[in-house]
Amino acid sequence: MNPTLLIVLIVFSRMIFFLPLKDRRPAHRGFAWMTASILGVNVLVHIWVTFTVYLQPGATAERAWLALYPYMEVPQWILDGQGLGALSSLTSAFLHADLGHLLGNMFMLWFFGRKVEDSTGSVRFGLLYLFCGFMASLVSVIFRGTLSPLNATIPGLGASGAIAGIMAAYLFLYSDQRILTLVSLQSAPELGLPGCILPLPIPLWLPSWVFLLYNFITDALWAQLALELVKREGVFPLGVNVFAHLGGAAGGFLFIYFFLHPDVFAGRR
Amino acid sequence: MQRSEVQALLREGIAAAKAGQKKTDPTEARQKRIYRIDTDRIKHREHARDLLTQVVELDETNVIAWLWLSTVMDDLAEKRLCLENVLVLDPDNKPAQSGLAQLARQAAAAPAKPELDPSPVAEAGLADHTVQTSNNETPCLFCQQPISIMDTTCGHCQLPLVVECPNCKTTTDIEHLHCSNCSWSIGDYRERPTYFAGLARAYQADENHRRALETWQFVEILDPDYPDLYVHMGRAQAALGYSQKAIDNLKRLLQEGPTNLAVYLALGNIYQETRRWRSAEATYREALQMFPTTAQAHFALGWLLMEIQRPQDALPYIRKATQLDPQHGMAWYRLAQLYEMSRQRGAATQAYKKAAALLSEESLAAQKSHERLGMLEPYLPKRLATGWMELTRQSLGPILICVLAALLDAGLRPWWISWIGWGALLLSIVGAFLWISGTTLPQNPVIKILVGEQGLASSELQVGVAFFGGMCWLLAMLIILLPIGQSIPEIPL
Repeated sequence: MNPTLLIVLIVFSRMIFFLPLKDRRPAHRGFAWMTASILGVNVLVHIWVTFTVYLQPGATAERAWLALYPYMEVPQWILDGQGLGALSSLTSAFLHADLGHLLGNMFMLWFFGRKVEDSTGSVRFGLLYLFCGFMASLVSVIFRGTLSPLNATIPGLGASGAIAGIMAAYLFLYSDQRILTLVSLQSAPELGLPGCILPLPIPLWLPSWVFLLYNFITDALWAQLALELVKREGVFPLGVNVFAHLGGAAGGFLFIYFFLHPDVFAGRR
Repeated sequence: MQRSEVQALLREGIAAAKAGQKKTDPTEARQKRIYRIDTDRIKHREHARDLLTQVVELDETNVIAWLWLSTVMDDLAEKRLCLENVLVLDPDNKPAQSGLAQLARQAAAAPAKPELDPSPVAEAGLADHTVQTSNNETPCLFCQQPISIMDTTCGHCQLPLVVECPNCKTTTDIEHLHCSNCSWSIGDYRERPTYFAGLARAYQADENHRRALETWQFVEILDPDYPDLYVHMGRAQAALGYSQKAIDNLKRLLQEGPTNLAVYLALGNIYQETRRWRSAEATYREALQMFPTTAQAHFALGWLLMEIQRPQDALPYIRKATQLDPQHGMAWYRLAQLYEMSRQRGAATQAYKKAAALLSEESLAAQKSHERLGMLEPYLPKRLATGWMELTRQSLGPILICVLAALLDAGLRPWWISWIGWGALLLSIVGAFLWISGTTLPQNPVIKILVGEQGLASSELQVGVAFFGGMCWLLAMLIILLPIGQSIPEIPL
């Protein structure tokens, strides 16, 4: 793809931000225990990390980096069979860089997770989340670990890969749903523009496939840009691990069938 | 105020006064003998006093109002005043004259009578001045003896002339086929014992046992040989707490002629309700000896044995009850419970289905049957529940997680996976299979090959297998994920 067109597309897509508010699908089960539990663990881990690492006396970015590095997903280490190995895929999924990172991920998890858990049941939802996390890690390791030696040592953290999988599972299950979405405009700090979000006053009932495909296509464009940059510069300076998003989404979309509760097939839900 | 309004007020006052009287029927004729039965006559009297006082304030010359007011006054002096007013207006008024004479006798003989005693005016026969004619007697509908039209019960045969509607609790004349208040079908009094038996059953269904017992006593007056009369009376007595009295009556009946199964069942039931288990069991066993081919006797004994935690002993009796009477819904329900207790899932399912089909949809047992069926029946259609496809589908998810983890742990090189890792993967397959077999596919093809056609039949076994499988899978994940022997390289800054 023409790099200029790619950048234009990315800037354009980056400026539109969709915030899901609600959908119309009635819940068949009761409380989504697994979604709430995963959310709770993420929050607790973040609080614990905040107090033991970020807010320690004399804490610096370097010290925090050193403290958390072994628990983050480092493609080179995984490929070399060093560090925590596959366990780092799991630990990194419960670490978040800051409060905004945590809140954004947890909001999406709560919105989509509950609905997907409704069709999988709690235990299977937990397994699906785990599976998507590993899928995200796998794709991230393959791309980041093999394309550029420098990027192979940049650690990844956050639950977004697994959550992208849950969102993709939602798309697979409820593609006929509409999501009430608050459309926002935002600048792209990654592109040197000052970061801000400007919500538009019009909430829209978007088809779920529009909402979700927009997110995945944006990630795909970013991934394409990364590959172009690697070709030209040998490194890609992205703050967002889009490969993990795409890997998680692929896992959720392609493998949700294996995690559906039998009630779905018995016509009880 | 219009004259018609005064008349309406008067009518209302008279009705309230009638309601406040103890044994006086209040209307002009029995056909109109409709008033709300009162549990608190004082309230009626007070209300009547208010209304009638208003009438005489509006119309001082209203003789009827003065007469009725005298019946609801508590104080003798006030009663006298009212009656004297009547005589001022109508010097020849006989009820007022006799009422005054009665008052004079009372005053001379004793202190004032209790509040709810019949007033001297009523006793003197002037309670209903509007119908105060020579014709104030009528033959009893049952015994044809002459009674006052005011009577609610015949003094000769002791049968009632008004009944309480089981539905709305208002009293209705016995000649009415339907309740005058709510139109509930009361029945035809000419059917005599059947009429009262129907009413008594309705009272019993409404748990108005006192009224039921009283009504069964009317049946006894009319027909002491009415079928199961004493059984019903015994039940009503027991419900009222007179269990021993009921037991004595039923025992006496059995001594007189032990030919009635219902008597045995009622007696056993009372023993059962009063937790006299041995006596209940002995009674039911005696009933079974006398009536060995009746489903009710088998069911009663079986249910008693279930209640005293002897399900193994109960099973043959309940099963026999369903054989003797295949339409006995409750017997099927209890049989299903027994099968479920003995972990015979398939048989329990069948029995619950029968019970659900036979019992009334509104009954608790039918609802419970549906509930249990939902739990017992397999999650999936048989094709899926017993097929390879669903087993593979459900197993693959948890297995793939372990495979991915193992692959990541081996640096994406399968040949780096150690023999412990391969063992863990194998363990994860076993764990996933057992977990699925114990949770949603207890009759999957592998389980059928391993343990037979019935699969994992009991719920305890399923829980155990599922738990063990889950633990195996977790252990496999732990083995794969634990970074044993892996070094932490230098962290790049």
